Amino acid sequence: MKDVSFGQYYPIDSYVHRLDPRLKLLFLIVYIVCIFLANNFAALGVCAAVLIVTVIFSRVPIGKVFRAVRGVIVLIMITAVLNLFFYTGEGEPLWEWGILAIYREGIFFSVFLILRILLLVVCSSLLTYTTTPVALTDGIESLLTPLKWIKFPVHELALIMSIALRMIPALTEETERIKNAQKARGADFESGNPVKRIKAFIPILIPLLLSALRRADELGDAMDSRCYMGGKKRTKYKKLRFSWRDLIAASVGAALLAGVIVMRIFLGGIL
Amino acid sequence: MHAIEFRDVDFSYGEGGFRISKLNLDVEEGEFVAILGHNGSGKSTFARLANGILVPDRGTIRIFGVPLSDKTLYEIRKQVGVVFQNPDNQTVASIVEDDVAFGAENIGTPREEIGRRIDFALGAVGMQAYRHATVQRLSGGQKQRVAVAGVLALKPRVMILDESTAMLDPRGRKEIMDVVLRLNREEKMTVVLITHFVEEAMQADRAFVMNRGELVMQGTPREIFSDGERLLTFNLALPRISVICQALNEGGMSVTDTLDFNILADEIAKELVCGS
Repeated sequence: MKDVSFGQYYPIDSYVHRLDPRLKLLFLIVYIVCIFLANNFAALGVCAAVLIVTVIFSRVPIGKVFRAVRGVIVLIMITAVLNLFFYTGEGEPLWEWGILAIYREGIFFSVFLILRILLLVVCSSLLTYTTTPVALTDGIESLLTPLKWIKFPVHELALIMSIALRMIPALTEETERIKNAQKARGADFESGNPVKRIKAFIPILIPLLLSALRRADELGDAMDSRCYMGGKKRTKYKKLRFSWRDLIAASVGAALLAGVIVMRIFLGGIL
Repeated sequence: MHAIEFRDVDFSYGEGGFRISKLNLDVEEGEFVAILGHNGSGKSTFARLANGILVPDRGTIRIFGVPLSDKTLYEIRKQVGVVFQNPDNQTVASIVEDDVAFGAENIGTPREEIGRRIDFALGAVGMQAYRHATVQRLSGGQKQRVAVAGVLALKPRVMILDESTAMLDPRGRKEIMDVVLRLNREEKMTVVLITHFVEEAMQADRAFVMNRGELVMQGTPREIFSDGERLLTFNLALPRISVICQALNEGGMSVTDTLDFNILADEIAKELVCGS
């Protein structure tokens, strides 16, 4: 059986794995803000140092972390190259050809951007490596709770998310089954031009959609018969709890934010 | 007082659609009842009527004497748990204990009590070891046992199994049957087993046969299986042991109709000794 774990959760036990998912989500937001507030190498270096320490504490293998980076390597290259050639700095360009020119500032700026994107990718993938989908939805539900004041269906949203996550492996298996059934009937998914190939997927999509609707219907009945009446009166078995670990991580986040702001004020721009 | 009581229940899925007419059926407390029927016999509709997923057009349904209505709906759903056919389409959460907790969470059970109920329910189906496992990685029989545990967490007095063994392999089917029999014998749970496998009905106290929305036969499994030809007209095959009994009798032996292989073996032995 295929094990499709959404967001590639890496199942080990570590300091970072044990953190409260709410804190991890907030930490991620603060960290991203820090990356964008950092406007010089010193500040970005501090951000990077914090992330490296976090990766070490999470015990996620370094190869896994780089695998996350591999997905966006093209994006990084394009951004870097464009900035390198089109950034107009002061003074004489180091190299010039037609409209293309490389300035000293351009080089610094490109490197800076590469670092920024790298940190963004690594920190967000670290969240999914260290947090189960269920914990993540619980965390999101808990963080969005204030929105209940404006009648936003927080509980329902969280339930939809967790059922969707729960159904991904089942639907993947189903897709595979339908695909094989259509292949057995002579369907061809591998040859022909792109348009033809996309068309070949219609006989997979329609049965899949029908079966998903049937599943939804049955799941609805099963939930009904287990007394589901929406979020009101409902209790939760798993309670999220703040502990000393979370306090330490929260202080690190706060210190980082303060540090980056101070450096932004006192050290100024990139150079 | 009956555990389940259907009085003149009419139900139809719209004009010209499938319908149940004038269904009268009682299940006693603590009983193990089987409802047999071919596809489209209305046996699954019975399950959906009994805990208010479908609403009858006419007639009354009472659960432990309480008539099923909008006001009593959730009270009755707590009493009557239903395990459905497809194990993949009735688990809500990805982790076993979270899924078992779902029903108990719905009715506002306090946290510590939910923990105890999970212990009890997983223990009852023999799945304690899988408490933190991913539902998707379990076998069909195990998934269905989790579904049974999810129903047990609501502490129902009646459990209806709506073709819950139909999609399982023989091993999974046996797992579920063992769990259900144990619940009935030891926990005094009222069990309604809806199935088209006649073999599974043999262990029941009583059996009902449905055909095209009507109740056509009722009695002990032995009484029902003694009328093999009638059963065939409802597209139901006889259990193997009944077929063997009939063949032996037609072949010149005289064995009593039984559903117990041990008794049959004794009878055959006696026949052989006396015959020679």
